[in-house]
Amino acid sequence: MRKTAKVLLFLALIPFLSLKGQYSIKNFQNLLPKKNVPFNCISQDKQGYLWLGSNEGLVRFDGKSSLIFNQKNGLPAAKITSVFCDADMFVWIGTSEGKVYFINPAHRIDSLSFGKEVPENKITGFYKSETGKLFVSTYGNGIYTFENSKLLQHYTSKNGMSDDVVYCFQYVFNTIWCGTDAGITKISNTNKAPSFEIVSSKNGLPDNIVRSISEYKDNKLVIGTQDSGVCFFDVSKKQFQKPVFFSEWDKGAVVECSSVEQGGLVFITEKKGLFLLQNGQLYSQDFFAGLKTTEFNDLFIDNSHSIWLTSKSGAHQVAEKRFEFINAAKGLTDEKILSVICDNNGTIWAGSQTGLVKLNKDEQSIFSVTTVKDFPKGTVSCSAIDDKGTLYFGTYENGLIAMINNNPVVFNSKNSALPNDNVSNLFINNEKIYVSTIGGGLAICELNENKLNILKTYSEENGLKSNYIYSTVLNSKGELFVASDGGGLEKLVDDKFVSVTEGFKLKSNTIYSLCKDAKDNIWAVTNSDGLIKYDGSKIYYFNQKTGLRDEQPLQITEANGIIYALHSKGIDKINSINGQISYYDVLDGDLEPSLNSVYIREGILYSATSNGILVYRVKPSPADQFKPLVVITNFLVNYKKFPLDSVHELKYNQNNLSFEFSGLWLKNPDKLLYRYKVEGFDADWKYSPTPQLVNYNNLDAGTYSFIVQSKNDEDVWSEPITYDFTILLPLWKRWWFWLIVVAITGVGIYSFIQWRIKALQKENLILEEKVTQRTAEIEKQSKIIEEANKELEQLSLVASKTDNIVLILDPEGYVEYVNDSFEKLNNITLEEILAERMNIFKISNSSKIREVFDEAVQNRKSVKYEALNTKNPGFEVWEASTLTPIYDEDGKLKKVIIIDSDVTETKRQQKIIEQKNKDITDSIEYARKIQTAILPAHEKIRKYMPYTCVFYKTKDIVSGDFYWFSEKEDFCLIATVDCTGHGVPGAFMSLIGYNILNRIANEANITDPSQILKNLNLGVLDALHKNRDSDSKDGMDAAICKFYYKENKIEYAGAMRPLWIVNNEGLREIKADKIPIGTKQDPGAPEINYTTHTLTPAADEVFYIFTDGYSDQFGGEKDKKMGSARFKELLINIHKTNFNEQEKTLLVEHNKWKGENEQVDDMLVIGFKK
Amino acid sequence: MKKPLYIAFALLLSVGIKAQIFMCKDGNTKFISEAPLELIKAQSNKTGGAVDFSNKNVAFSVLISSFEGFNSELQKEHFLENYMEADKFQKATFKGKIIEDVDISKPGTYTLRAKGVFNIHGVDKEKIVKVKMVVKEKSAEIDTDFDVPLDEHNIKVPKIVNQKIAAVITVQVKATLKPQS
Repeated sequence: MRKTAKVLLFLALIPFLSLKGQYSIKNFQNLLPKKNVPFNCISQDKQGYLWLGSNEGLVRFDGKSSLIFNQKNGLPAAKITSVFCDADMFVWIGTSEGKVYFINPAHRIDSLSFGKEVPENKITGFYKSETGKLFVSTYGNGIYTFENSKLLQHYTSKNGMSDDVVYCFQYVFNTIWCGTDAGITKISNTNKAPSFEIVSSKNGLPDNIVRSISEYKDNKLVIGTQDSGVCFFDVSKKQFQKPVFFSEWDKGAVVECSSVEQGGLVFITEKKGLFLLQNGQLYSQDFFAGLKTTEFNDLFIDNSHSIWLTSKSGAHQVAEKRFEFINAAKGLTDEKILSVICDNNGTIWAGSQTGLVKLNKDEQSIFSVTTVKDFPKGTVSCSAIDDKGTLYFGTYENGLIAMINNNPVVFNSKNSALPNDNVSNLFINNEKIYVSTIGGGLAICELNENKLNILKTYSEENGLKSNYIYSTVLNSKGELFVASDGGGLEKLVDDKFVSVTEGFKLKSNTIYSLCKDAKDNIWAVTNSDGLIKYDGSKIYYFNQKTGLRDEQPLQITEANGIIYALHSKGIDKINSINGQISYYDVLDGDLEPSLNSVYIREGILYSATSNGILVYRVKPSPADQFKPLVVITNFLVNYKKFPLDSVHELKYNQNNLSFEFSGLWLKNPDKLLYRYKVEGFDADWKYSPTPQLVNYNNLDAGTYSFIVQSKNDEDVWSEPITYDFTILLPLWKRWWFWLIVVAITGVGIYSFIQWRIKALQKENLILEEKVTQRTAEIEKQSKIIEEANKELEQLSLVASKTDNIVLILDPEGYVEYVNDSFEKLNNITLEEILAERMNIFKISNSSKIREVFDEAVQNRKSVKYEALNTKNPGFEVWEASTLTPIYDEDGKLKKVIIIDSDVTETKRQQKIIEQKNKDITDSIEYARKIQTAILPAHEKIRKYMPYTCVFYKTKDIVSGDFYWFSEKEDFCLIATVDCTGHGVPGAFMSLIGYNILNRIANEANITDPSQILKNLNLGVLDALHKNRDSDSKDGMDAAICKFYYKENKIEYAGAMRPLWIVNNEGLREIKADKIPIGTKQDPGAPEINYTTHTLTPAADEVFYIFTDGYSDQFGGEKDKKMGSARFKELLINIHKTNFNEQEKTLLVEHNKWKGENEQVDDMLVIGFKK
Repeated sequence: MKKPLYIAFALLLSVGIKAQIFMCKDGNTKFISEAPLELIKAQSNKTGGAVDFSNKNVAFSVLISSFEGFNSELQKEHFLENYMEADKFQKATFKGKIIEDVDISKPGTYTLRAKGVFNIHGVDKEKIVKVKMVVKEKSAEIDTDFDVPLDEHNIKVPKIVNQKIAAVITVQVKATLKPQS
């Protein structure tokens, strides 16, 4: 699909290339970082950016800089063969591999899926209809249609297309025209069900291979073909027309074509470059000097009518220039031109120090420069042409030369009475020639039959202020104005010169140039007052302050109301009516115009300069008036980027705004100027020569508009781009805020008052209630007091009459009251006590009365104590006292009451009991010694069983648990025995048991553990007469082990007491026989026997026998028995430790478990190993 | 042309061979290199070709090593071994289709174009070549010429000899094809 801004083709007729050959050619080989990358296609979006597809990515180009889309930012590597920008600012990209991608306005890249119908060939074009239907053409797979990115249809040569190879794709006259290898396929009705029609050689198409199609004027298409050049197709008449140039076409395939203004056409060929067909002429690429290649593969006309081309080396721009320089490059031998004029045949006559030359342009716009034959040598300083077309040339030293019948005829001071042969300026009006001279004043002449008649001369001698005349001009009234060196500006009035300079007291007395405008104002270039305009009564000044870039332009002339002032910087254009000044730059360096040598003819300005002849098209074409574009590229709030259009209402503290803008003017991007302002803040426009970021800080609350425009080198301003925004007032500055605050405050105050009133009312009610309550309380208290009084009276009676001694003290211990018993006992009266102010600390019988008193007061509770009253000798009385502190309502000590009781007798009895206790305890203690003595010593046991621990802790002084040991030659026996009960009864049992064991093992030499237990049982029964029908329940539990010194064997038997074996893997139990020692043999029952267990101990095994006291101990957090499980766990934890340590650990753990509890039973644990 | 090659190029035609296929084994292919310092003309009379009149498919093939007529053996050796690398890329082929909407099965003289892929030095390049075809009852004469830019087919010529070898060589093919027996 050809991508032309087609709407622009129908703008008003533009002399697109009216100045033939005046193009600027720019070759862009550095659009990508890598040089000389082939570019294949171009399109332009609505904003004006160019999109170029290359072999290494996509480039968005603004004329100066590239934004690249490639693999690095999401566009897969591929050769881009087609690019299209739709109306929604989407960019569609086709590749050589048949893939399609699209970029949305936010620059996100997506791909289009063809599903199963994937094309194998390159994409050649796109078109998007108004309804959003997308057409994609391919080179070999026909056409695809999509809607909402979904494939709709696939059209090939099998269902309507002339061929599957589609070179080009153009939407014109509501129809899609496809150029293929087999003619043109017309697709109509694109929005609904498309219909196909084929146009081919059968219909007159000169060549079936159609490479390009473009819209042309007059309802025609222009078609580029493979071998037949270009032809036109009249759509309505359905006829083909082939210009004569293409009848024997041998310049190769026409790859792309585009119509241009005034019926022109540009096209590119595969190998022979760019061609222009215009006004019946076919121009080859030579017409466009500067293009570096002839092999282009795409052509595009942008929205400013520049031609863009792509090639293997990059992109190229061909833009029409409004001017051209005729210089040495074009054949001019002497570039320092002093005078220039164009005759009626279009021949340019240029004079210089070396003489006069003619310049003629041929059909190819090539200049031929010829020297004017027989023209006198010397400087040609100025020129003019009269109404008949006769040319006149002023010279230095040769006077005035007229071209009469193409021959130069000299008129000088010698043959024509010219006042001076140095002619500085010529002005012709109504066949009169005004000859200005350097040193001879002014001569008004007339050419008559090849003779020059001097009609009048003016000099210093007859009124002119100076003979050195630079310029003259007549206004429409015929008034003559003269500009001279030293005489300023003079006006001829009634044949006398009046000095305008003196009349207006101008600083300048030298005027260099003159011209008049359509309103008859005289414009003059001064040497000190800049450029002035004289309207007959007033002088208007134009200088650098008013915008003139050079205050002494060397050339001024007028056309269409514009004064053109040419100077070293370029051309300043002054609107003669409103004085507005705009600029046009023609060179990047100095222009160097020659004094007064400027001429306008048929809209073309010719200026003599030191760089040749400047030819400038004065009348702007519509292309020149095309507006550039400007975009706001970045918007920042408080130095943070915001997406454009995302926010227009800002908070009060979001008042630091920045706008970055840039312009688009592909023709001459470096010449863009900008102006911007914030309406509501800036008084006037601010100007900038470059795109930039502008900041507006600390803006007050308000509504603003940021406006920016760009201006191109044709002084055309772009449409303004506006960004409206409002900075809101802070909350506290908004009227409604204060209104709300006042309202809330008012409501608040009112509510508070109301609440306070209610609170006070409520308080009153409460107070009244309290008063009522207090009154009731007081009444109640009165009753209580009354009752207390009654009680007190009764108590007083009790206290006074009881046998116990009652004292009442004050908080300091001073006696306030004693009862009768006290008086009697101590032989003293209350009055005497009060009179002496006796203190308890002095009269008490207890030496610890102070401590008792303090303890009672401190702890706020009664304390009992005893003391011996020896007040009456021989009559000692033990007193048991209770000291009770009494506190008032506030907790303050009020009284202390002491009540004594006579406990003398009790004491006596107590002594007797204590003595008896002591006697008993002493006996028991002695019994303990005996018991301890009979127990085997730990050292003895360790002698035979080195690895042994014995933990033995009795509950009382004497114990019911005991351990027994008997050593033999090859083994020893060790037993733990738990006798019924503890304390004295248990001790008696232990003695019985101990003796029996000794008899069994040592006297009867019974060493089998089970036999030992059996005999022990019999022995205990015998000792307790149990067999005699005694109902005694006494007995013992026992465990006995036979420990072999050398043999790796241990034998065990248990009566109610198990053997625990602990090793690295845990604990196992050898259960005992459930027959306690002391069990009667029931007649008829099986004989009571115990079991001997023989064990082979492993190296890491530790054996434990024990009584039940350890595990029966109460304690722990929940005050429970320790239990077997905990006991087992403890033994597992300690079994590897040293046996001494085990004894200590067992004690520590027992104490820990027991805590504050009493030991409940005797404890015995024996551990050993081989 | 060797028999395997004869079969091979026949297989270039995507459609099975029918009665309307005309073929040749001894067509003439000439190439001309006109450089400032040297003119080289070499030719081969062992060009194989086929035209299928039913679907207008055409195919031609020539062995690079069959070219003769160089100005010297050394030149031939350079041409074959260094530039064309004939050991790697033995053949030059053209496979395509006549794209004019003309019935060429009828006797007559036609100026046509064939569009297809030209392969030389291992590089394919699409080409549209003009063909003059004289069709008779029992023969068809083909006459075509086209330009081959060497750089398009990666044929590298050293700078030292670029005055002797043209950047673009002209290829001419003339062949008389007969119906397939």
